[in-house]
Amino acid sequence: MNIETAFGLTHLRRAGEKAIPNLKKKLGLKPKFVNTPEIQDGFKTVQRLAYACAKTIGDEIQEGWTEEQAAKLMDTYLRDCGVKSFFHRSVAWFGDRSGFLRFKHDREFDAGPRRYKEGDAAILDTAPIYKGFVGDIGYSFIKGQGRDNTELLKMNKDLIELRELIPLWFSSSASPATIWNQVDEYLSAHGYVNAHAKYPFSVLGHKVYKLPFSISEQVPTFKKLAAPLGIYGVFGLDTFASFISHGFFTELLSPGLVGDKTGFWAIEPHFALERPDGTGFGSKFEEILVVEPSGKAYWLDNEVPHLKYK
Amino acid sequence: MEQEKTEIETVTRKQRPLPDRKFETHVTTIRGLETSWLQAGKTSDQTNDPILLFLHGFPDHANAWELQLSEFSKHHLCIAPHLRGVGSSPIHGRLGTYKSRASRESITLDLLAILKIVDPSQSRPIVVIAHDIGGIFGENLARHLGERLIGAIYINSVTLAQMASKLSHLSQLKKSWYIGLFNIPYLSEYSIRRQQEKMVRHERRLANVDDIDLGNAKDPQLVNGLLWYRYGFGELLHRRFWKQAKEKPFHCPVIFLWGKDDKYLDIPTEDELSRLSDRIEIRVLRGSHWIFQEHPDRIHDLMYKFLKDVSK
Repeated sequence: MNIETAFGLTHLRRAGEKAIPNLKKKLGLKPKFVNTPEIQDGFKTVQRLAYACAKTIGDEIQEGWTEEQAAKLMDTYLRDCGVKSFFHRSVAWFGDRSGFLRFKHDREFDAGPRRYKEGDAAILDTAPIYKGFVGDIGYSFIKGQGRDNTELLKMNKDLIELRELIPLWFSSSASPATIWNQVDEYLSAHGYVNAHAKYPFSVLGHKVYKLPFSISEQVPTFKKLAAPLGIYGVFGLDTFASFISHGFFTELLSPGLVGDKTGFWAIEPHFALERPDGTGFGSKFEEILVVEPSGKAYWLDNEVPHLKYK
Repeated sequence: MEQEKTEIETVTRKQRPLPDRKFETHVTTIRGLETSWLQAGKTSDQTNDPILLFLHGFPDHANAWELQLSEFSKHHLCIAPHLRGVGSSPIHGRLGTYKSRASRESITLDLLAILKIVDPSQSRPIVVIAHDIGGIFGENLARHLGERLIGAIYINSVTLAQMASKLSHLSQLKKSWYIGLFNIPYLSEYSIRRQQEKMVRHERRLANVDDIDLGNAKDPQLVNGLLWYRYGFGELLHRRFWKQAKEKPFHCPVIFLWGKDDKYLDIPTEDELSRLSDRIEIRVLRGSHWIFQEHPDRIHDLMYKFLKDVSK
């Protein structure tokens, strides 16, 4: 079951994408954007911590590990490093699940019992909150005989090429909706399936903030109650509080969003390749893009693992 | 399942060899905390030469394996970590005590990090040797090492699932009364701190191994080992543990070397063993809970035989 369609949330999203930015404009509400070196350092620290975690666990993954095992170890690693709360708990996707191929139900997004096989593409996605700063990363890799998998190498090179374009598009006068569509056209032109369109509200990214305080360190709160919510259940209470307090739909880089682009965005383009025989895989990167009120846009950190594909 | 019939072997008590203490102590920072292990033996050029990973129990630390490090370092690379909280692997950092670092998952991450430092190629096979509560960490590590783990030697040690199963038997429940005490915070730490040296020396005297001083009696960190029991017990309350326990943790041969006169653990039953691996062997000998210190020669012989079999 897809909660968005089942509960008519798509209509709500489309209405919210237009109404909330207009309402904010009428009320004279501007995005609160504080971009000091300390703030940037805070976001950089949490992003690097998340990537160090994903890289460490990715290096350890052996054939036979389940997605749940990998995700749990990531959460443990981050908590050991002082992370007390998560934007969303860690998830892992192996093999064709890395491209969300044949996903029909929201629950399929959560880390499951799929076991890693040599040569499988894999994605580790984690979003720790460290000293109030929200990080959200996606780390793609392949181990074993598939290392020279030319399709994955090409996909990662195309992702890196897209990484160069995204700040240019954000710096232009294009609306978030236009940028979403530009990314969609780019990946379609390269023969890929748009996997991030399958995320809740089809988000290409979302805003991140320094949270003033944590409501709950449990992610998600009431785990058993949240389980039927599928992917919505992996988010923490802090996440919903952050989104709702800023207008919710203006925080999500969704297909119809208009309005101000200023802020810190976690951008996560996710490509998938589906072969005629039904097999396939996916790859993504996710990192923070800074968009200043002047329109200038740049990646927060240029020391990210996926740049090795440049 | 291959299982050798249990036999009780009478071991003649000979004069114990003294450990030569020719090992190095390595210290590094892992996820913000100092972590230390004893290492002995040369790094071999043979990439299929297994690394022997020794996991101690409570109230021990890595020096409990000194005799084994002396012996097996002649032929293998041996590593004996101080498990989180005891010895030179403190659980206290800049901001206080990181109790969650005593969980099985966190200790597994520590062990994987140590193995990565010792073997950066992550290709060498590993044999885990565990004693006492070290077995619960060996079990979790086995689930993460996959094909790299080529064998496990459990010396008067059990997995967490085994212990849970054992506690349903009255004889084991009577022996394990202390685990209930260990799960009472503050009171247990207070009691043990007051009596630590006396307790450790008394237990070692009962086990006929009080002639070797391994330094743990006076270790101020020793009491942190109680956290392993608390986190282990806490795991038993989660459905996830029981779901995982349905799968056998070991995909390699496992041998149990058991001192029959163990006052803390009953001899494993066939039912328990059948849930651990398809290739299980148990050898029961006359000896105490610390049989590897009490009768090292016989234990070493059995270990060498096992290592030869698994290294083929």
